[in-house]
Amino acid sequence: MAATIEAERQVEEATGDYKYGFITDIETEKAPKGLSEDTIRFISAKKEEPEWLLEWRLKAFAYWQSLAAEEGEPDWAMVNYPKIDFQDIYYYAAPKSQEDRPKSLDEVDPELLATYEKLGISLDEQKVLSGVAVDVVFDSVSVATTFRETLQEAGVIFCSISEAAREYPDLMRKYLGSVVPVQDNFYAALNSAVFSDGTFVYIPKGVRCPMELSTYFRINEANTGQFERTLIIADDESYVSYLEGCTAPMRDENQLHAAVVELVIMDDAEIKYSTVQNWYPGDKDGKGGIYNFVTKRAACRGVNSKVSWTQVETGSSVTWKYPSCILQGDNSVGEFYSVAISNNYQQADTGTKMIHIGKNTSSTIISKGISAGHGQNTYRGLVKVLGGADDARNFTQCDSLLLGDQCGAHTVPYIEVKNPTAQIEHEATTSKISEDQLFYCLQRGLNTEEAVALIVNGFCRDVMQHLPMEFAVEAQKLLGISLEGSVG
Amino acid sequence: MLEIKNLHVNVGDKEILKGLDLSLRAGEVHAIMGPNGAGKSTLSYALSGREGYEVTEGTATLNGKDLLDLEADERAGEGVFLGFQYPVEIPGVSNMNFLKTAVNSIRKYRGEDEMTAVDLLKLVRSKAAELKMDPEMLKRPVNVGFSGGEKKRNEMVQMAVLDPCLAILDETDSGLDIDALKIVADGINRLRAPDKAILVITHYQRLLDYVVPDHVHVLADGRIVKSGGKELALQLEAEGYAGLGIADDAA
Amino acid sequence: MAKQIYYQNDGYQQAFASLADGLPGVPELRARAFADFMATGFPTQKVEEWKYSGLSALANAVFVPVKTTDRHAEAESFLAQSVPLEGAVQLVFVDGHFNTALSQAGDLEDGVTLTSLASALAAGDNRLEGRLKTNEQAQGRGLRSVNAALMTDGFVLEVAADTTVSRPIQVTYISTSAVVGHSTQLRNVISLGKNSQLRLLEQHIGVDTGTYWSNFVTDCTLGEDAVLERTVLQEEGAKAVYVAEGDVQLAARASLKAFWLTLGGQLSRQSQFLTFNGMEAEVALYGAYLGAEGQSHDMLTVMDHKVGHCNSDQIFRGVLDKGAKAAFQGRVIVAPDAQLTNANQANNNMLLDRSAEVNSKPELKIYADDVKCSHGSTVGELDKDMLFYLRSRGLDADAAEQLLVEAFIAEVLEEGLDAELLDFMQLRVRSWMASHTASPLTAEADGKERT
Repeated sequence: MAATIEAERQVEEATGDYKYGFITDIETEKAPKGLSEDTIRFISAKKEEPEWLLEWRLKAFAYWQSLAAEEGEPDWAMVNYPKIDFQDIYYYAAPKSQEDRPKSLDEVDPELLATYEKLGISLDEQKVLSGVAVDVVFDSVSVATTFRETLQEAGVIFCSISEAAREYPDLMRKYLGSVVPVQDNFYAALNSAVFSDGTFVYIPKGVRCPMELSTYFRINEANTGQFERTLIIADDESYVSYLEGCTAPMRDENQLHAAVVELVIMDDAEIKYSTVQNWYPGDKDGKGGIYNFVTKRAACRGVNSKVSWTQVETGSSVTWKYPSCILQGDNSVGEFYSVAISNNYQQADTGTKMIHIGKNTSSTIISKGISAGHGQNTYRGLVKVLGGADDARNFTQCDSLLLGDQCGAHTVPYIEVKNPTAQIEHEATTSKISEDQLFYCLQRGLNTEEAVALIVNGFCRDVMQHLPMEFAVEAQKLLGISLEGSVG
Repeated sequence: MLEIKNLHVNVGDKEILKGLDLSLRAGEVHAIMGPNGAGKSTLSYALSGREGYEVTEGTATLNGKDLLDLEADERAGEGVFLGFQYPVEIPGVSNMNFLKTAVNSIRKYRGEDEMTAVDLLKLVRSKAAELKMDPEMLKRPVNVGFSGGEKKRNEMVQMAVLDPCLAILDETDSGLDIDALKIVADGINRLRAPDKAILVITHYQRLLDYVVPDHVHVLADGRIVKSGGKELALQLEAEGYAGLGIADDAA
Repeated sequence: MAKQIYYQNDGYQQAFASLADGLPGVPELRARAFADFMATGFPTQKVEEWKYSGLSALANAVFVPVKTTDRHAEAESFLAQSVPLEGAVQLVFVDGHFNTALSQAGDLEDGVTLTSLASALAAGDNRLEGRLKTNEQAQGRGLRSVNAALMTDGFVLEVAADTTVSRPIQVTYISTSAVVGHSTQLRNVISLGKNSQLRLLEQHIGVDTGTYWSNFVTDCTLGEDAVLERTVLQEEGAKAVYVAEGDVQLAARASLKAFWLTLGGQLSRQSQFLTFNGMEAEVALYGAYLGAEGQSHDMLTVMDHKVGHCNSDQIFRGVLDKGAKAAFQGRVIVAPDAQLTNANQANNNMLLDRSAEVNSKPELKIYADDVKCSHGSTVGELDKDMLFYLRSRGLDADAAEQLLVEAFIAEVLEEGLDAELLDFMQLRVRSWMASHTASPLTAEADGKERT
């Protein structure tokens, strides 16, 4: 019992151990505060976008306005936060030196480079971990993309989405909004109207992307929202592993992050998408932190296509996120592996949707929720088997771990089946950290912190093992940090 | 009694049996031995009518009747019994209820009246007692929570109750200790009769110490490659399949 | 707040105005409840708890209760279907009204009061009014409100402390052809005193010839150490809309074991709200639902663990044939500090045909850490290996399917019923299968080739 009390005490003592909370002092150019057609025209002009894209944005904005007027923000998730004043946000902020985007890393503002060094991400290609190409998005713009030449040789397009709008208009027009339509939901509509940058990836037929692709997102400016958009297309028989990471400074006010990610997977292709989400979670009293309202969806359009979402969600004060799989192609496979930690006053409502349309489609969901402090953690998932999805298979395992008696763990699965050949299995458990395990660890010489970290890591193992090597170490450390002062 | 001629069977796109010939006369016990992957289980499933085992060529008749055109249950009605290598667990169905339903289904197929509950109970109890099965087991769901030996004993009780004219025992001896093996052998020997034929499929010779076969066949790569008397099993035991020039993955 | 729609708004208003005088007692309560119904209407599918069941069958007419019924002979013929329960006290309701002639009162222990709601209301039982509560917070509460406004009858059963009711109470609700186009609005109130015990069996039987609406509310309070065993067999008519709701309040160490066997109706909906108010109480809920062409069964349970050290277990199993639909929604809530709660939910479904549909939503909302909570949900078809095993033993496809379906349901019947009821309920399941399963699987199995 003593061990638990100790663990709980440390939970209580949760301090702002957020090591990415610094602010970069850099000159920025911003759009005027607030949201209007003018804001959107400003962003579009800054990006030198083609006319069709501006029209597309304006259409999204009109739809968002009608939603905002009629229903307001979605309220079905188990999260509580004060109403967002959408006119009190900057929708565009860019480092001034970005006026002329640097041609090479030598031209990148040294302050920016230093920022990323501090975050543990070296943009110097010589120092970069071998085999990872990085796109970095700082507030509203992409500031650097590494290894572009190497990738070009393989035929892989890896660039900022603003660039793609100019350079690859055909691909953009064909696929942008084809997975997450403008009208999909409130935040998707908002993102479609104001997205300022993000990453674009195209893997051509038969190409196995020679290195991991990665984007680091950083919010720096105060009162600024980040609205990035990611579009990845894996053509027939191609493969790519993509990683994203996110951090933000510690600020007392909440900041909005509303991203859209679209994945398109063709015949025999595979995308592995990994996220380590470490936005500033707010302090121990729940002050500040990022509102993380994200729409992520993959369309498995081709036969034998496969998508795998792996996420480690440790940051943000409020998370609202359901990376989903539309399993349209016969034999397509969708996977969702998730660890979500809610500590202090964090709230996470996250899960997935598996929509089985094609024959012989299969999906796996492994979700591990950890609640500590006053955190609230909800798994919300949908497994839907349509009439034509013969022999669809789903296995779902949702486990929740509670640390302390002030937090909450919730499971809201929806299972909807219209085909008798489907086999669906859903299991969920909720429990607290085992006293026996803790005692055993302590008896073998671990301290409480180590013991808790060890047990929690064990609890998450089924998910963590799906992260790429480059990320696994970082993610494990991150769990440690989130658990430090927060869990143990 | 059982005549198999030039039997070709595909599983998926793969041809497993490639022209198998076999003839069993009433009263005989035949053993089929062979290395893993030779097609032993495929033969038992093809004869008992499992879905997914597609006969592409050849015939199999039981007492002159074409088996291959019949559904699995119709074959059971004709007197075919398959002893499973891995008996299936059926939660919620008691052994007794299961046997009652099976016996009466077969009687119905043969145009006979249903057996009364009392007669049936007597029959099942006596067969269970002969094979030393605890009568309590009859109340338990079919094979659920049974040990490997108990499952095989249960197969033997079912066989005794259903009283087939052709029993096919698919590696019924695998994974059993010596006591369980004796039970299986006892079950088979009790069934031996002038009007019945028994086909024992096994990887090892040891069951044949207790069930002495009239004929032994070696199955390899989808065909019977050698036939002989019981001494062939001993030869295999001594020399292995390699002694016959057959590769055995398991050896 | 989801938008509400109203069906035949004016019609109900007129009906209420013309009926009101004839309804027993509590006019103010009725008026309030009716106003609430007018404000909320029937729940629509936008209300989360009603996501999977639409009440559109009630949209085309005004289903008001019948004032009296004269279908005595018809009712009596239905009664032949009722469970033969040894030594039971028999209450029979016909078309929403207590029927003295068909009922068999019997000696009950001192301390047991059993009366019809109509007579209790007519007698002006003040204590009753407080118990006929409407739940003004709940979404989709319109059904409870309209029941409070229009209730014609029901039973009031009170068991004093330390009293064991030795004879089972058996209640049969019969809907004759008189009720077609109308509704029955019945309200039951059960309260068990400290350390008392009761067995209750309820059966719903109805005519097949037309649409009618049965709307039941049954509220129970269980005192400390009280034990209630409740079994409900629903065999309403083929075109009936059956809606039932119950609120159960449990004091410390109280125990409820309940079983719902749902076979009838075109649309059936069972909503149970259970609240643990004292420690070491236990609830075990079991249910089996079998659906055939055009049937839709919907089960909602909300298990509110307000205090710790309580156990709840739920097992619901469904078999859905051609054109049938079912939903299970189970919500377990564990309040902060409700430590040492054990809560389990299992929902298993078997689909027998391509056109069958099932929705399952087992939900956990947990605010305490030292708890063991789990749920499992499965959907599948008949196991191919089991089918082959049975057929290799001589069962034809029909018999094999029937046996496996029976076995699937038997597991929950055996868990949830005592021996006396088990055989009867098994018979009801078998007879339902004999008359309903079109056995499309047989065709499939005979046609084989579905690899």
